[in-house]
Amino acid sequence: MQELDMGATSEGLSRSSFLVLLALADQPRHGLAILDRVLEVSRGEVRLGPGTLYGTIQKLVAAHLIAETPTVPDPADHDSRRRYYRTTPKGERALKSEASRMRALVRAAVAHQVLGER
Amino acid sequence: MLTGATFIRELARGALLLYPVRFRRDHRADFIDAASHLLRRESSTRTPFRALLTTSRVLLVDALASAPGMWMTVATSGSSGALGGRMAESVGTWLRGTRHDLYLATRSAVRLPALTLAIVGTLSLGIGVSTAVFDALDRAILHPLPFARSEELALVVMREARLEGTMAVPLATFQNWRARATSIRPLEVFRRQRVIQSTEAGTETLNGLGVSGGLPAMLGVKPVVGRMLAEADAAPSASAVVMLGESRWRTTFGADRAIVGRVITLSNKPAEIVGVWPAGARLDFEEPPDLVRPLPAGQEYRDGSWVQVIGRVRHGHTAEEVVSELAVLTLPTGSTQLVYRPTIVTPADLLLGKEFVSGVWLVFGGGLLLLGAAIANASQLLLERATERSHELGVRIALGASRERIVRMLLAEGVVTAVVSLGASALIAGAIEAGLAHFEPRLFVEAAGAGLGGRAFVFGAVVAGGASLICTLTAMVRAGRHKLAVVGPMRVTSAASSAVTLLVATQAAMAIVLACGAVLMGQSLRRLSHVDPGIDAERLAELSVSLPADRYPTPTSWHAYLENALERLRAVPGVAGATTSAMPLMLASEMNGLPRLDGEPESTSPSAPLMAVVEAPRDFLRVVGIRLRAGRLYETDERDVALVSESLARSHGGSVVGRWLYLPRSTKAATIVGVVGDVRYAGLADDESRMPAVYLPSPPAASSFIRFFVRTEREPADALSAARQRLAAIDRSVPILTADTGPEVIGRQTARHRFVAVLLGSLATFGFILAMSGIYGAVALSITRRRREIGVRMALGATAERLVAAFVAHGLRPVMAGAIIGGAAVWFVTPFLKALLFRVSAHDPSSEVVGVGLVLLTAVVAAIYPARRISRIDPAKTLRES
Repeated sequence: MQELDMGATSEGLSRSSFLVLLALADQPRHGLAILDRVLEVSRGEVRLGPGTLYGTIQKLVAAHLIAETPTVPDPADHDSRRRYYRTTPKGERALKSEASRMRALVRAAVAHQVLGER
Repeated sequence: MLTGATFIRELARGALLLYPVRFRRDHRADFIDAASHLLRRESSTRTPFRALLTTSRVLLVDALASAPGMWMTVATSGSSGALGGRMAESVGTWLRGTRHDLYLATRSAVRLPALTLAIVGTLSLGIGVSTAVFDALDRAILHPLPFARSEELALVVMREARLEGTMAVPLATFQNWRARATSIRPLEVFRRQRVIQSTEAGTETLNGLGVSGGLPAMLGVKPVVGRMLAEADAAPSASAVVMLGESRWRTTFGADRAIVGRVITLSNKPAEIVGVWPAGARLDFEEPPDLVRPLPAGQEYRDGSWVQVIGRVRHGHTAEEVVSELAVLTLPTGSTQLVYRPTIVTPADLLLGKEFVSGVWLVFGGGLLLLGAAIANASQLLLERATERSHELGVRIALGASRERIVRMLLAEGVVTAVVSLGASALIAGAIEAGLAHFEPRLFVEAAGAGLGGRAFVFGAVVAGGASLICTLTAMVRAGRHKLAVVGPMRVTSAASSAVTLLVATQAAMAIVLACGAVLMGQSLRRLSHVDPGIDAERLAELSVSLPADRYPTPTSWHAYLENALERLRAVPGVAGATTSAMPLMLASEMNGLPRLDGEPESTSPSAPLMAVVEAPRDFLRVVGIRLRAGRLYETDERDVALVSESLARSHGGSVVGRWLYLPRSTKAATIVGVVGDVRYAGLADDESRMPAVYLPSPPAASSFIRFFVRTEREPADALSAARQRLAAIDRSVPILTADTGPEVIGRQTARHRFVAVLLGSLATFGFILAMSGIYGAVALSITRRRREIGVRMALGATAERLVAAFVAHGLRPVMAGAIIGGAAVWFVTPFLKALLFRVSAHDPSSEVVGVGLVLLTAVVAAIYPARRISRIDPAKTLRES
């Protein structure tokens, strides 16, 4: 069990925290890019509203799972008004541990043929 | 005009207000950007409208889901550790700010009194009208039976498939249902009854309501004072008890609580008053009862008398299941077909009539249209106010007021407007209801004492809040588009002026639809009041009496009274004749099938029409004024003779005098001695079925219930009071049950038409007022905005008259567009009135001409008035100002 401050329940990370961490896993991104990335990784299933997005960012920053970064992945896309975020090592650990917890859960479900024939 | 992107940005700004201060400070720009981003992304895959809808939904759901959590975080993470830390502080700041906002809002409203009055007036008119109409709808159709779980209550009648009419449930059938039905129970009955109360001063006929013993408990009625009637009171051996109706208790007994326990004499028997029946416990739309009495168990009524069966549908059963169960229980043993089937009727249809119900719904639609127009107009006026105040707001922003402050200030103005409008609209709604109650008193029986109903008040409050919010927000968003922050006059944009055009066009269209509806109903009513009922009702009066059984026990005694009474009535000065008949005016016994004349085969048609059969003395035809068309009248003591109505004669070739007539299913013949004019037994408004009638001679029928008809030479009202005195002189203990003039009886048949016509007419009037204020506002605003242009044109030599003409023409353009839309809309809307129209086509072109003409005339007046301001504009001054 990790010591997560606000972004998590005793069960693990909240769904929005998990998705934001996942969106930042490969490179730093600004808010709107996180919004698009979440839509992309969830295959169009999850639309984060602005309140949830920035609320989650605020929580994850406060829990030191992500941090603001001056590094811009694509200088051509740079906009000085935008704030970019990256995951911290603590955030990466939390994401990994949450993902493996979910994997274990999915494996258990598959073993019980919850999803039908393999 | 408001674009989708602006709307979403404004929505995001609004949503932000739900979040804690820190979040707003840190993420305001990002938040609004993200909202716009969402819209852009949605727009790439959907139509602009769908994209707007989806984005708005995401924004609202997201705000409601995420904001509370953030407030919780703020509350629990206060640095002082206690809950009373930052949260209490921010709540305190918010409250102080709100109080200040409300103060500022009131002050600014008072500063522009004319405009504020116009805004409040427009809004409260819309809210008041729609609330009053909603109240009528609620009382008549949505909740006609004001009891707990009223949706379970069902009224059961017997109905013959081919006929419109209904029949009372036979007593044995009712008792069978009551004992065995499982899908509907308990089953109870109630009926209206005349009750005769004897006091030392004489007798008085009271309006009674008889209820079966279990009815009060089933409905959950609580007494005003004393106790309710119970099952035990209905036991045949129980001593007689009675409850006073609340209105009689208040008016006659001065709401005396000590009345409980007093004994009064009803139908010559003592009965103890046990309590007061509340006025709100209304079972029909008749006058509230003076007395409520238990109907004795097992003999609730005699077959043939009208009672109403009411029950609670058990949970899990549908109306169809109830009907089929009751039908099975009704079937006589060995039979498979029912002539009369049990049917569940909605209270509104049974008590008020289908046409009336559809008319009320239509009027409610009209009320909502008016409300929409009022909101649009108020929003227009608020924009005008914002224009007037653009300097003030500019100064505020320049002095450092945040956009949020300005928004809060405008919202506070919205709240003040809502509260004042709600108060004013309650007055307007009350006035309209008082007016409506004049035409249809049955509907507002309860309202007479209690004022506006609770649901109507909630409706009004929600509408007032919603309306003020909508017009504040639209005015705000539109003002925002005009860059309020820039100090100086606003420039009119083409988008804004097209919104105004659309608004005026819609209002003109609405006014036309309402006006056409009102004109159609007016024409219909006029034609209805000119219909020849077939009798001469102008100088006619009808009275009825009930002979007490102890003083008049035998047919001989009834007959003696009847002869005596007729003689005295004929002696009244100004009375040309008096007679009696069992049926009231304009009603006759109805028979299934048509008569057959000699030499004609018996009709085998399965859908036999109805025929009226009137058995009456010769005098009846003369006194009531049924006209002889051919042949002669019969003598009362003649045998085997008959008179037929004109339509019946016509359907048999015209000359029928001297032929033999057989009534359906009868082999007894009567010679036709004459043909008389048609009487509208099927109802004044029923143009299609001239119900054929046969008149048979019969001596005055004597029963304990006697109906007199009196032909007068002068106003029937005068003769009526003289007739009452004569009857009272014979025997003071015989109560007079009814006394009506002929025009009153005929007038009752047109009451519903009159009610809907008056409703639509008043709505149309309000519609005109709103359309006028809309057109006025639009022209006034365009002159304010184009002052400079007017100045330039005048400087270049244009005369004030030409400019006025140009502005009026400009102002009328949207009205023309509205006339086209309205003219088309009328085509689709008026057919809903069809059931209420009489000898007028729903697509009557003259109503449309009148409607469009009235609106155009109104529009010209409304446009000329503000346009006259142009002549007061001084070009030199205007040019210097700019």
